[in-house]
Amino acid sequence: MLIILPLASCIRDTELDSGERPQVVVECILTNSPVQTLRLCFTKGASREREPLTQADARLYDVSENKAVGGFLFSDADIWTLRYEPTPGHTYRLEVNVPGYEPVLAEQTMPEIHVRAVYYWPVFGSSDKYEYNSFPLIVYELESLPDFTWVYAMSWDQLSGERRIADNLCTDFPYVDNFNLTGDVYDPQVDTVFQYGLEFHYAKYWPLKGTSMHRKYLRIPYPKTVDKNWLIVSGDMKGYFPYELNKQSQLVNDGVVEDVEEGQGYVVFAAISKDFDAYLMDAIRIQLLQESSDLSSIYLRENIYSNITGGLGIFGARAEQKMVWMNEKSFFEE
Amino acid sequence: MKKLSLILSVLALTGTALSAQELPWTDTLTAAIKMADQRIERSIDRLSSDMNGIVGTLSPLGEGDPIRWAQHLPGVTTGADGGSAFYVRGGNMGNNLLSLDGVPIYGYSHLLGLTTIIPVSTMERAELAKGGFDGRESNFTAAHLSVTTRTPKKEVGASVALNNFLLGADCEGHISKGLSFLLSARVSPLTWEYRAFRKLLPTRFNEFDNFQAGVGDLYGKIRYDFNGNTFIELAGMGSMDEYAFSQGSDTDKSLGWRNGIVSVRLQNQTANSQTSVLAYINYFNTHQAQDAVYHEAKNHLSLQSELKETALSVDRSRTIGRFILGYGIKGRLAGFSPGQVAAVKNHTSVLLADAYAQAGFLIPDHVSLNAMGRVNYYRQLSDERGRFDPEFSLSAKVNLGSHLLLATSFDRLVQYYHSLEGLPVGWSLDMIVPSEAQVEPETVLQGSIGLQFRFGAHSGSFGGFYKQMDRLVYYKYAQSLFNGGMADWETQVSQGQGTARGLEFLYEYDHDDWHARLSYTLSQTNRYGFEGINDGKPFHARFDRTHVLNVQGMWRHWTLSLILESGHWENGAAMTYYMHTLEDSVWQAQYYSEINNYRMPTVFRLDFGYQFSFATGMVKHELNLGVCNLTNHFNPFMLYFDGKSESWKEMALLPILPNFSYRVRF
Repeated sequence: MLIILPLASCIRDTELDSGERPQVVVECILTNSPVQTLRLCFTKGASREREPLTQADARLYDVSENKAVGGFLFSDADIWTLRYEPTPGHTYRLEVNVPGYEPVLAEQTMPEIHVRAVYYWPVFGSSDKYEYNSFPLIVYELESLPDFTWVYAMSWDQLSGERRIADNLCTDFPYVDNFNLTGDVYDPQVDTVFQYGLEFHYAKYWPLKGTSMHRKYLRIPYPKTVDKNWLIVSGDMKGYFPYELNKQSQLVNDGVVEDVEEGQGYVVFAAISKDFDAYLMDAIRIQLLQESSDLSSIYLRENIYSNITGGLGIFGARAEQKMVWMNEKSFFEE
Repeated sequence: MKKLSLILSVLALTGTALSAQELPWTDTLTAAIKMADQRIERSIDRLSSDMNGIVGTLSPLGEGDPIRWAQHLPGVTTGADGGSAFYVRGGNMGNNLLSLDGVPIYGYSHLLGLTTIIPVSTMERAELAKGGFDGRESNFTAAHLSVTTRTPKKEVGASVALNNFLLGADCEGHISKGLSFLLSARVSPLTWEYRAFRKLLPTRFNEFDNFQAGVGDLYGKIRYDFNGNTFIELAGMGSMDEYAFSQGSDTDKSLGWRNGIVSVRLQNQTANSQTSVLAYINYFNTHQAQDAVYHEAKNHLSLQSELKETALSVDRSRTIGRFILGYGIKGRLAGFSPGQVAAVKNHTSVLLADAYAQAGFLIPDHVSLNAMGRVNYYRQLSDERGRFDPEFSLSAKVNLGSHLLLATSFDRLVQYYHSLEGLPVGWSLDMIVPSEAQVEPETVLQGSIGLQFRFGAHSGSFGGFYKQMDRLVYYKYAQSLFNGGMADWETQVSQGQGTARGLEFLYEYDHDDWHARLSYTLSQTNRYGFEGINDGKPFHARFDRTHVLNVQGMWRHWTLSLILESGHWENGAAMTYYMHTLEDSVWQAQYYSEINNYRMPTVFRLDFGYQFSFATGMVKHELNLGVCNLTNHFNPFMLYFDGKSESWKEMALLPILPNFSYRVRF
């Protein structure tokens, strides 16, 4: 950048070290799973080595029931674990005592999520929007309405043999946050398919044509304020997204994925606590800018949101549900 | 895009402009202080200069411009050394208004901040007002830099000019009785210069390839004098700044901004009164685009912001004995589309109307008093109700003998258009957004008091100011240029307060071949109360430069200029830590114990210039030669952490830079 003066812009090294004492960094996101994970570390100055943090007393309290839940046990490197599944709606307090430091405290309320998926085949030619014969769609209904819902899709990458988050997503939900637009719009391709001796023209998630693409995540704030609680999702998911219909052509188990098999893709709906949402917004914005080729992002130096008293980091909570999705591959293999 | 610029250019040429006349009552300096022939009229709150003073300001382009001139005045600090950003009395850059004959110019930066879009050849005068404002000045909260254009001369004339980065030509004259015109056009050969430099210094440009610049401007004015008292002017202006380059083999980027202005002014002036009607259409566009590969897939990002404004104003003033009365109304309809990305349009239409009344009382050589009150009405057209906001300006000047004058002012100001400020280089890429639910109007309460003096060839002023700023706008992602998240600017804007206080000193010596000017500002500016920023606690304003010293000496054709400024403030000295996001990927976060916690090195710059002119027959030649940053002092404006070398870097814009400008007048 600074393209021109560049005719001679100059750069030189400089020494920058605040000389400040390292701070305790806490990262603990409560999840609707049987084991909770806590990460503890120290911050590192520019010219110093990173110090390990292995001596600490970390405990979780259920504030709603006014009782101690238990202590986290040192597991490996910077990871501490606690066998416990939080109760939705309960508020929890995390206390971490590190020798020589003030107690580190934070509180968080566990959200809950209930999403169901519906198999829906738009009626051919019923409106301008459906001028092509669309593939059938998976429509998601948010039955619980958390403050913030984040949606992302996990694809299976056959080349690497790994599950990867899909790079681009879009939705028809009108109040989706635009903090991570890629600049592209969804432009579904029309496939011509021969079945039963007949020719069909299928557009992939045709109702989403022209909607903005979002990088990796869909952030849906405050669905309580809107009357619409259903949405469809598409993007550049790759791989196989299996789904199963019963005899009434309804999705088995309301489309909830219980056990994920190798090679399987799925969509994640995560109810996110308010603090965790603020942290994610900052973190993902900066992360995306660092990943991008925008050179000006090197000048972006801001603190990430933290709700930790006496330290840094985040004590958040998320409840997530894995859901089926459908692409042409799963449709034809159904 | 080319089509659009062509349309703007045509509009500019067929459009119209405004008057260079001053309301007689606005000048309350007494005869003991005012000098008709001096380059700067010194007042605590208001300084003005003719073209000689402006062009004589040393700059990287070999000739000065209004911004360079203003950057050397007391109460003004600069952004990046060499850029066109300027900050007045602790305000943000976007709190300043730059106008051309009364029409706001929202994207005034040209050639990546090296100069302004207003051609020097069309200008007559510039004035920087920092307080004690006139009723016609509205919708800003820091300073008004007003530029007035020349009345076309009766005789036909033309000139051709060339400097480091611009080629220009202008002409003027009378078409028939009462009808005259002024035309100017400039274009930059930057692309060719880049190619030449690239051949000479190939390693210097490794990061950038295929650089192309489309930079130019057009100005035109047609004036018809009905009689000695009444005239009508049609004026138009179009400017284009387009830059494109490649980074590596798979990333192409472009950015730029455009202005288009068409205006018409009808004015009548008699010995005791002045009436002026001004109408204009103003278009401002910024755009950034990037074609890049993200995880092996092509991605096109286009970010556009637009502002379209249509305005009509009527102003009248009248002198009755020792009283000067004025009043006026102004209405503007503006459409904003900031942060257009993909399917997001972000369009908002607003109405801003105001009515003011002002009165002045003058006892020559003793005292002058001025009072102005205004009521603004502002409404987003999609809202059912609007809002009313009052503004006022009070000022007084009292002679304390024949050499000394006491001046004071007190203002309340309101601003409805807000800049989301990014890189401090003065490029006109900052998004301009209207007041709305998430962004309330910015307000300022400020006062100043000082003494103005003149003893023979010595003159100057000394004073102090205090400013309380409310609902200042802070957008922490504004510095990233190619960021689709700008579409969501509303949810990430934070508003807070700021205070500024300072002392300003200006001294001038003007005698025969000698002219010297020294301006010094001692000030302190902070910000506080921003939700989510520094826990709401106070922090330094980024360009809170404690000391700002500008010294300029001119002897015959020689000019030497010294700039010495305290460094500005950056987020520096970070500690790092590892964090995770939803899909459990690890990344390194930075932690700053405070916002703007690191003071950058002191800015030092020595500039040198030599100006002379000569004639060959009917042709007059004007030549400026100079060197900017004579000592090649490293004045960094940015810090960044280089992940490759794991070290912090400082970046400066302006190395030693020889310059010249040459103008031939026919």
